[in-house]
Amino acid sequence: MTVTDEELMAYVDGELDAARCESLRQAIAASADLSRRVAEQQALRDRLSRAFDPALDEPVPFRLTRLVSRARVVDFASAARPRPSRNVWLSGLALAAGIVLGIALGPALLQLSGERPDIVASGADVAAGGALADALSRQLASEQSASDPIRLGVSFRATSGAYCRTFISRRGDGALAGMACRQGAAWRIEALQFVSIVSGDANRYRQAATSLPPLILRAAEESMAGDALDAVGEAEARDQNWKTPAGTR
Amino acid sequence: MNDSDADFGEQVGTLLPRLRRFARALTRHPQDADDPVQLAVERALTRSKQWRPDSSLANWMLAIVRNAWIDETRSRRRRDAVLVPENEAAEVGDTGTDRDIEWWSIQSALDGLPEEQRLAVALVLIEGLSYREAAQVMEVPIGTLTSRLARGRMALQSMLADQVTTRVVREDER
Repeated sequence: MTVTDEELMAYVDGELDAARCESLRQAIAASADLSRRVAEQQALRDRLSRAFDPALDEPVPFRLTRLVSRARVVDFASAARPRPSRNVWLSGLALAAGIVLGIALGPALLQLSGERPDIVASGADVAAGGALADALSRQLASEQSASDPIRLGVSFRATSGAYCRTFISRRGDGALAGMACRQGAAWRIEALQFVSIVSGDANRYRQAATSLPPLILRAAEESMAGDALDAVGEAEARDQNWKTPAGTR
Repeated sequence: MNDSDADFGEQVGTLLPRLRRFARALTRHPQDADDPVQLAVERALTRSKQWRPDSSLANWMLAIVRNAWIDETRSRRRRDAVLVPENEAAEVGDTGTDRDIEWWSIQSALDGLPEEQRLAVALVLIEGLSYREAAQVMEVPIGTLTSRLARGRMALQSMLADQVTTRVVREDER
């Protein structure tokens, strides 16, 4: 029985389903090589725990505890009162359940204000424009900071061969999260989700204003060929202007 | 005085030891580990409304620590590139106890990993998150998490094995 390293790791991490776990257990019992490899993985886990778990028993320094004491919390909370949203662009989209996939967007929903809208309808496609297009072309996830209005997530090659990137663009009290793929010189929007963090019913989407919603993650997962780019791969792809490398389609 | 804000602060307070453990696995020097935790707690308190009560507060906080650490690393790197030439040799004392040596071995092995792999290792192997939870904290698809975790693990194994060899050789030379 051939067992990959990844599968052994998943076994040690308790990530296999019961049936697979049991068949692996039998295989390990029958093979000295497999039991050695499992022991190595277990030893690494134990070693890391021994090194880091003592941090749990140390007294927490005052500079941290004072932040969560009662008086302090009130200061922060009053400073963080949500501002009323004046920026109502795309509110139609937000009302339409907040979720739009692919190019199911009607042009009527894309009547955006501003001289360089972030989302533009071009023919039958929806493409990134303005600051969003600039960020998709230039910004590296490895160099951005939390205060950037547009943040890039994962970058990867899609099964079509094209480069794709996930993004979150913050707008007032909402955010636009999505996935765009390079097509010629444009970024075609493949998945888009508007996330409102002010209106009452949108409570369950609040968190998404700072993290990628599961829907976009799933869209990325489904179109991804191989691994996501690491920092080096991302910079190389950017420097090649996100052109699909010749002969790899 | 708002009770729900105070409750939120209290809940974050109980997580502080875990957040410190996580940050320690990320930062090279233990004395720097509380910086991203402090930044993360400040951010969490101003954004407490963004946390969904039906989701894990611990995982939400871990994600904020991760972002704070990434932001800090970037600004530190920019600062260091201008100001401070690193002197790594000064860290390795000859008089360390076994526990110090073990700590240093692991810390420098982790430091040798690319950021994404170190995060995957810290979340799954040290914090004990499931693959799905760790992928959510890192905002990547689960397949990306598992491949980063696998590469990080293999690199750690080989770095730690090399260190053992080096130490044995040194002891033989005495």
